[in-house]
Amino acid sequence: MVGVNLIGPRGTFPGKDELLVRLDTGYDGFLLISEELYKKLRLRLSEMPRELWATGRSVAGELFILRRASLIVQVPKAKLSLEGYGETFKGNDEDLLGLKFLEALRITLDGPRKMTSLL
Amino acid sequence: MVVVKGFVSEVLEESFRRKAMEKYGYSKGAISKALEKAIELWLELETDGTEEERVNNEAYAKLKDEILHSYTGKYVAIAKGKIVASGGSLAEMFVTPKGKVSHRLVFKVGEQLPRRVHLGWRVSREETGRTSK
Repeated sequence: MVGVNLIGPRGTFPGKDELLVRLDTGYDGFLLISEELYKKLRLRLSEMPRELWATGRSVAGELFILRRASLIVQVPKAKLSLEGYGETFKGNDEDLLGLKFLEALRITLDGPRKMTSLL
Repeated sequence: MVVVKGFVSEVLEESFRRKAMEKYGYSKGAISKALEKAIELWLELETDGTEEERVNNEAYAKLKDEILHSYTGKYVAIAKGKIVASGGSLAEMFVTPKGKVSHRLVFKVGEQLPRRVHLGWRVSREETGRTSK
């Protein structure tokens, strides 16, 4: 899990605290967010043109149209701020950081201590 | 202006009326103002493709070549069918837009993004339950 702040058109979420988001190397996008969070962040005010949206495929082979919007992900503990995008689809309730997010970071996964360390 | 008729529970009507009065004062138009705001918000949250979204996407399709020519590497914001902002950082695009806007396009011009995405093991639309024996 990585503690992040998300900055959208209507400010920073969650504000004082951090949002813990799971890293998933099986997801090759930047940030997948739940529909609820997409609405909460008012990402319709920073949405990408429809022709830049993607098609997502689950391991079960289901296909989803992914709505995409521009946002900034901050990792306060690493003093890092990354411009990127958040995407969601109808019925999604997962928040995940993916491979595209990892491109900018060096991370070690410490299994025995159940920790993700940013280098 | 038109009249909208519908039925809601008494409890909901009472708390809606009270909140509308608190917000807009004890005037004749308070309920209408609050109702209009409620409908706008509901449409913004629930509608898949709003009129504003359609207009913005049509504008993008029309202006795409011009945008690519003039703004490559920059962020561009489109609202109400027009380019309303451009700049070198995404944070600049998050400045509160003027007037009532429920949809905007914000994107980095020329950025290549993956069009097909693997969603990993955790993602599915809904719980499917256990596989039967």
